[in-house]
Amino acid sequence: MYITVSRLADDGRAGPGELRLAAVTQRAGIDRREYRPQDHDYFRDLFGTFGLTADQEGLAAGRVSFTDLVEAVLPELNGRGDRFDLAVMASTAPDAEPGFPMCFLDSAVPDTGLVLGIADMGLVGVFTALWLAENRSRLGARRILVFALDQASVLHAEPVPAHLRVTEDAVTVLTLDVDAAHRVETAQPRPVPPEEVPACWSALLAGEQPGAVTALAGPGLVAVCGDRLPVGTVAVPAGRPASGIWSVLAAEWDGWRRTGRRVLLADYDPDLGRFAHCAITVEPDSAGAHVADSEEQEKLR
Amino acid sequence: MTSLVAVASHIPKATVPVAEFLREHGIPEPRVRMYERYFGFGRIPLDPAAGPADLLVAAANGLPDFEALRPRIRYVIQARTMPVVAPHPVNPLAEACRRLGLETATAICLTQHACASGLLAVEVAGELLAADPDPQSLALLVAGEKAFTTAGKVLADTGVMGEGAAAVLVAAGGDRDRMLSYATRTCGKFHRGAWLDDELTAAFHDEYPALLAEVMDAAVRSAGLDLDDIALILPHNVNRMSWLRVLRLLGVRGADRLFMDNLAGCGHCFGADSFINYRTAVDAGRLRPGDRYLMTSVGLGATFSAMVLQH
Repeated sequence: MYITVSRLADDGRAGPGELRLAAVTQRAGIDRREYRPQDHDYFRDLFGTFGLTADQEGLAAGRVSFTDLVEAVLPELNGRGDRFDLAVMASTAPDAEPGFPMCFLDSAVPDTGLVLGIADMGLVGVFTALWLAENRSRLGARRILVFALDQASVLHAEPVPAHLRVTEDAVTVLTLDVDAAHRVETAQPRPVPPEEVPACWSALLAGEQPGAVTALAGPGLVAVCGDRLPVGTVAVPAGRPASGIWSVLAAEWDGWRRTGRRVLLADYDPDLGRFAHCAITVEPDSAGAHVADSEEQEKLR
Repeated sequence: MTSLVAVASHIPKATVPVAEFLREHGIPEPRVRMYERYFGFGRIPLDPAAGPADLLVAAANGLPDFEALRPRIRYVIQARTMPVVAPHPVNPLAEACRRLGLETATAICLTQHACASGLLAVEVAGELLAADPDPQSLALLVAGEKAFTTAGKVLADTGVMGEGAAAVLVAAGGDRDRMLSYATRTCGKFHRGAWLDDELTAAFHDEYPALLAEVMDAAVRSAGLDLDDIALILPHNVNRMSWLRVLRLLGVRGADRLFMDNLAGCGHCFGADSFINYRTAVDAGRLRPGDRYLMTSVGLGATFSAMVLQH
C-alpha cells in the first residue's frame, strides 16, 4: 500500500533529487493477438460517439496491447522490474484495448509501489514521466520504472500526423535507481513557439562540451528544425513516437557504458507547443561501477 | 500542506430514469429492481450533445473566481477513468485547456487508477506544487467523462455511470480543506477491469469491502486519527449495500456519516464523485470548519484509495 501524509510546501525541493539510470531495456517484434469480442464493442461504441466507424480490417489484423508489451519486456528487465517505488507508463497513441497495464504490472512482479499512467502528452509524454520521476525521487523514491509504449493499431481512417503515427509495436523501459551510476537530468517540458525551437535546441547544445556529447533529436524536433537542425544531431526517425528516442539510448547503452558518454535527448510536440529535453551522463564502466552493479545484482538475488 | 482552494461540480440537467437506462443495456428486470430498490440508484444525468472536453470546461467554469485565479494555474491534471476515450490523436484535455485559456499550463492526464485517479490527482498536484518555485501556483484538477459502451456505463452490481464532472483548484499551502493523508493500493489480479471472468468477478465482489476498508483505515490512522474523528465520508457513488458491508468492517455504526445524497440523482460519475459530493455537502452545511472528512474511490483495474482532509 502506498501512503503519504501531508507535506510542507517546500518538501518537494528538500531531498537530493538525483535521478540515476540503472538500465535501458527495449522490446519489439511481438506477435499480434486477436482483438477480444469486448474490444470490438468498445471501439465501435467509442468511435460512434465521434461519428466514426471502427475499421474492420484493422480489427481483423489483431493488436499488441500495452499489457502485451509490458508482459513481453518484463523478463528482459532481469529482476530490475520488482521492488519499485513508482512505475509510470507514457505513450502517444492510446492503448489497443481498454486495459490497465500498470495494474497488470502490479500483479506480475513482487513488492510493487505506486503505479500510474500519463496520457495525451504527445511527444513529450515520456520526458514528462521522467520529470515526475525526478520529483518523486526528491521525496525518497529509490527505484522508479518508466515505460515508453508504442502500439500501431489505429482502427479508424482519419489522418494521423506523421510525428504521432506509430509504425511498430515496441516498448522501452528506463529503470531508475538511486544506487546506479548514470545521472539523469530532467526539466519540465515548456511552451516554446515553433520558430524559437531551433534556437532553443542550439542553446542547449552550446552548453555542452564540443565533441563530448551525443545529441538525439526526436521526430517532432527534427521536423520543426528542418534544415536548421544543428550538424551532428542524430535525427531519430518517426514511427515510434514514445519509445523511439529511448530505443536509440537502449541500442547504444552497452557501448556508451564502456566508453562513457554524455547524451542529450530532446523532442518537440507541435500540437501542444511543448519542448522537452533530458541529459544523461553515462559513466564509463570501471572497477567501482562493476562492483556497484554486481552488488546490486547480488541484492536482487 | 496540500489544500483544496475551491471545488465546483457540473451535473447535466437532463436525466434518465435508471430503470430505462439499464433496460436499454440488457439488464434483466429483477436486476433493474435491485439497482433501484437496494443499490439506491434513481436517475442518471447524461448530456448526449456534450463531448468529453465540454464536461471538463463546464466544471472548471463553475469555479468561483476562476478568471481571477487563472493566471496562477500552472498545472492542469485530468483524472481519467476509461483507458481509451477518443480516437487517436484526438486530445480532449488539450482542447479543454485551449478553451479555458490555459494553453501555457502543464497539462497531464493521469490514468491507470480509473475512478480512483481523482484522489491520485490531488496527490500528484500537491507534489508538483510543493516543488514549484512560486508558492502562489495552483493546479486545476478536472474529472468526469462521457459514458459509452455497456461495460463502461453499467458496472455489474456496482454502479451506473453518470456524466457529472468536477473541477478542483489545489494549492501547496493554505488553510482550507487541507489534505492530511492519502492511502492507495492497487490489486493487479483484477487488471482486466470491467472484463474479468466470472471467477475473478466473484473474487472482486468478495474482497472489495475488506480492500476498501483497509485503505480507509490506513488513511485515517496515517493522519493520526481514529474513525470516530471523521465527521463525514464523501464516497464514490456505488451500490449502497456494498457500503454497508464496508462500514460494518470498519466498526462504524449506522450510515449517518456516509454522504449518499447524490447516489440517487447522479449515479457514479467516474473520478468526480467525491468532489461532487464535497460540493453538495458543503452547500448543505454538512461540513463545519475544522471537521475532518474522508474521500474514497475505487477504480477498475483495481485501485482502492482514500484521502483524509480537514475542512
